Amino acid sequence: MRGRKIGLNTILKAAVVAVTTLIIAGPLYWMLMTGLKAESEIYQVPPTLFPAHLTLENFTYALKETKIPLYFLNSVVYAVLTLLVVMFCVSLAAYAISRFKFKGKRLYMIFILITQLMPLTTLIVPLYISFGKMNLMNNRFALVAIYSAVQIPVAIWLLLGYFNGIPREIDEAAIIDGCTHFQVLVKIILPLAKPGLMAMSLNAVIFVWQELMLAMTFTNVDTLRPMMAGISSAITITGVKWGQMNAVGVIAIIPMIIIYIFCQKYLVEGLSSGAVKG
Amino acid sequence: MSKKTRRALAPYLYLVPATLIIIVMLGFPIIYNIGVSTFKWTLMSSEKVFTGFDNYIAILTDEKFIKIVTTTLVWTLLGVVLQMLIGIGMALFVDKLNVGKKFVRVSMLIPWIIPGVVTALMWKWMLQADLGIINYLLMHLGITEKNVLFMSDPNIALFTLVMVNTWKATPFWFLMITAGLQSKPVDQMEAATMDGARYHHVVRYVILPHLSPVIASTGILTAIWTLNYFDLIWATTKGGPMDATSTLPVYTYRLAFEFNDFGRAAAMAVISLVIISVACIPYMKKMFDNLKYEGVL
Amino acid sequence: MKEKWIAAALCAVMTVSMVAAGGSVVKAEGDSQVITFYGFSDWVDTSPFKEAYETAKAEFEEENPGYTVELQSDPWGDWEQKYKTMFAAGSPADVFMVNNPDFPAFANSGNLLDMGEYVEEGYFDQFFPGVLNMYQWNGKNMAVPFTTDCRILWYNKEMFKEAGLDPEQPPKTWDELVSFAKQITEKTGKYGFGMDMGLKELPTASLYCASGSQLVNVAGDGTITPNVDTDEFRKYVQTLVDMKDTYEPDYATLDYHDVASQFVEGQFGMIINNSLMSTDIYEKDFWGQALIPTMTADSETASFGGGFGIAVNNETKAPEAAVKFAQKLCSPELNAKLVSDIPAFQEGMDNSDFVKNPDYALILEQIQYAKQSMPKTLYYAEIEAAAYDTVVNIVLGGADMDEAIAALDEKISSIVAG
Repeated sequence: MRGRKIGLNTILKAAVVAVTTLIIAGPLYWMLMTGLKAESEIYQVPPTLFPAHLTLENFTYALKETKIPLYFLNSVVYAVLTLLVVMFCVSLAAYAISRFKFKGKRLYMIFILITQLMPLTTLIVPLYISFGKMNLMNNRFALVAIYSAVQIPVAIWLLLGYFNGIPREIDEAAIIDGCTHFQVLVKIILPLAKPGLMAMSLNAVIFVWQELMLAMTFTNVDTLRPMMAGISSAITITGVKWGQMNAVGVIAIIPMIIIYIFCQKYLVEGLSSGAVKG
Repeated sequence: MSKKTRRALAPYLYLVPATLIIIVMLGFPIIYNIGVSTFKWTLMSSEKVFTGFDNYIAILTDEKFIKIVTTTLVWTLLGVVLQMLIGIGMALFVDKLNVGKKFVRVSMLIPWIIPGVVTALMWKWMLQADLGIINYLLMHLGITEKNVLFMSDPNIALFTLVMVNTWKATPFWFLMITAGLQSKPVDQMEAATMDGARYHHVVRYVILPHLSPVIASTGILTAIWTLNYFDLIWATTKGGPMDATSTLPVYTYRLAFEFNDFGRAAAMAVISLVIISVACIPYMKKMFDNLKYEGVL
Repeated sequence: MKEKWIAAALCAVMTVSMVAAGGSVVKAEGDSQVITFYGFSDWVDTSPFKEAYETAKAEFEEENPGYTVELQSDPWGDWEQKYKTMFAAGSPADVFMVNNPDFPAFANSGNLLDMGEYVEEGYFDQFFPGVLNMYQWNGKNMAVPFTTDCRILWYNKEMFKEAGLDPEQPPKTWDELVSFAKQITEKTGKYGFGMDMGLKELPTASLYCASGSQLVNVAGDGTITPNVDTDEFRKYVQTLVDMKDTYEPDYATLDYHDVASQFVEGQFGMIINNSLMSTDIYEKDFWGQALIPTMTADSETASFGGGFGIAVNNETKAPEAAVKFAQKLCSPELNAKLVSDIPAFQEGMDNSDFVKNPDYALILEQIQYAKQSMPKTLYYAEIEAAAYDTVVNIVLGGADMDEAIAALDEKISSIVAG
């Protein structure tokens, strides 16, 4: 009786995993296949599930002829710098909100939320004006600053949840032992909030990696453009170059997947300290 | 500075870096938008004329406005609910999985990682009538007889896009809930099971309450993101066919860059902001209540 | 502890770099004045056109010492939004490509330089009058025509044969167009006409242009009145409705690029599209070209034409030099090399591949009849959008034609009322 029950359960579980993988991997597979097809084959009706003529021309074009390697490097720089800035600002801010009592806390949280509410597309022109006034066009750090500004409210929001989940008794224990607030934050809270930090970091990095509109608006030169510029240039006046776009898309995802596999470990690492259980 | 003053100032100091960046970069644009919405500002003239609430009246009396708002609400509500249900469901499922946990976790995140523009165009391509792989497979497997007009039929276009958006956005819910599950109260769960509770009882009475803060905060965030999401709709249907997929951000963009009316677009942005704020109020209340209970507020 | 070091290092790095990099990455060379040019990178930054832009820049700088040109560009997908943003924010480039539909808005805003004051006498006479007219505002020349284009009727001779039609007799009138399309769909099972209703422009505007009518009338004093309650407009929409069965099911979200690609792959019997230069259609041999079908047998053909102009910012610090650069780009020797369309004057055209290649003969014939669906007014975009909505409502949504046209009439009146 027991054996049969386990059998059915396992099959159902396997089915769910299979369906999920199909829904997720399907489009990814299609992206890869389209990148490997020649432009003419892409338009064939009915579509071919596997390229009739496998070709690497889209990928080689992307890697050799365009400035994609340069764009790639730029994206890495933007992502890393934004992450550092965001982590710094947000750890401090979330700690203050979670741990201190001060006037205007509610107002601050509402303020944070309001900055998120206007769609980016509506801010493009005013941003262009303010960038112009501050002489920030074509400036790497200006881009990092605006990315950070957009990500910080979200990150505070996210991290706050995790900080709140850490019992205050731990703080108090440490303070009694002589730690300053800052030390509590750095040595105790942050390590315990690792899953939250990871989630927030991933969110920030993915955002910067995929960001297209701001980057294209505020940079005029190739030396500053991110990966997405490679995708944008596949949308031409004569239509979309599907092969090229999908090839660049594949190239863009690979580092993200690698990063995520690496982060996975920390995400899953729960509250390690035994003092917190129960 | 006395120790007491320093202690009182400390929280504010901690908030300075974040607040500074936000105000410097976003302060001017947001206030400018609010201000300029009361002016007539189009590309057609280089002057900005103060017209008070004219822009707002024009928008609110536009016959399309009601449709746009309802479309936006459907898009947002349906999207968030789907993301939430599937995200929580999958997170719980993976949590209980013994084999292949890592594999599913990695796979679940992939849709989120694919750049938005690529996702949009890729799905547009896949959902086409003749050239699209999905219709081909559906007909090949005998599930449908004719091509399904996923994006060209005004009646289903919006739902198609909601599904695509859900595909892309669910990983975030999955991530949040999974991280939240890492601190699930295992003792309570064991106790409940020993008292005879079945799994779905444990979920309902132990796990979900534990996840409640995460669900609330993720809910607000994803609601705002979904409502404001522009790239997907613009890259696929541009708000069509027949305005079936015109949401607030899409229409705002058209006002600015197609009709060249920046004043009106700014007014639209402010209206968006008001609508979202109002919609968020109940959630904010709940969140603040939660936080009060936890002693944070 | 770690945090503190990271923070300190970050601050140091940021301060140093910000000071070092200053504001802009791009610096002026020496003390020569910089003239910025903004276009889309499909031409400005892509071979083989790129080299011609470099040549234009080099020649200009040689002929005008003390000035340097900075070529800026963005991909087509971002270009339009960005150059409007630059204008709205009040900091446009000195010289730039201007899109035909946007021209009235820019001209009226006073942002464009009146080029007539800076060029030689009679400079503008060389351009095709129909095209030159598109870049004039209040009698002044506010941009130099850079390119022009038009649409023609393409058809698949193989499919014609299969359907029992004479491959050398393409449809000449709208009625023939409809019946041919239906015959093709019936006999071959493929799609007789490739409709592109996805781009938010008046669908297959060329047909409407060929009726000789226009969407609005502009009186001498500038008053604009709607002109859609006409036989021409009705017949045009009716034609689109009659051909419905011959469209690809997804036609409501296809744009003319998609349709072009599918035609090249042999999916459509006929399409109305541009020169298809960017596809490899010319390597195949199933195609035929024809002038746009007219409403009645004896009317003159016409086609929807657009293109780009080169304009100069009114607030530029170096107007004479900027205008000279604009002229350089439109010079007979260079113009054809800089674009993938047709230059808007005879001499420029003579230097382009279009003239030398017999495949383009019909295009050159049609282009003489290029026009637009309505005269240039400030409300061009809004009127077009309203007309598009109406046509889609009738064709896709099955709305009643009289009601819809009456509604459009009202809508246009309210649009021009401001």
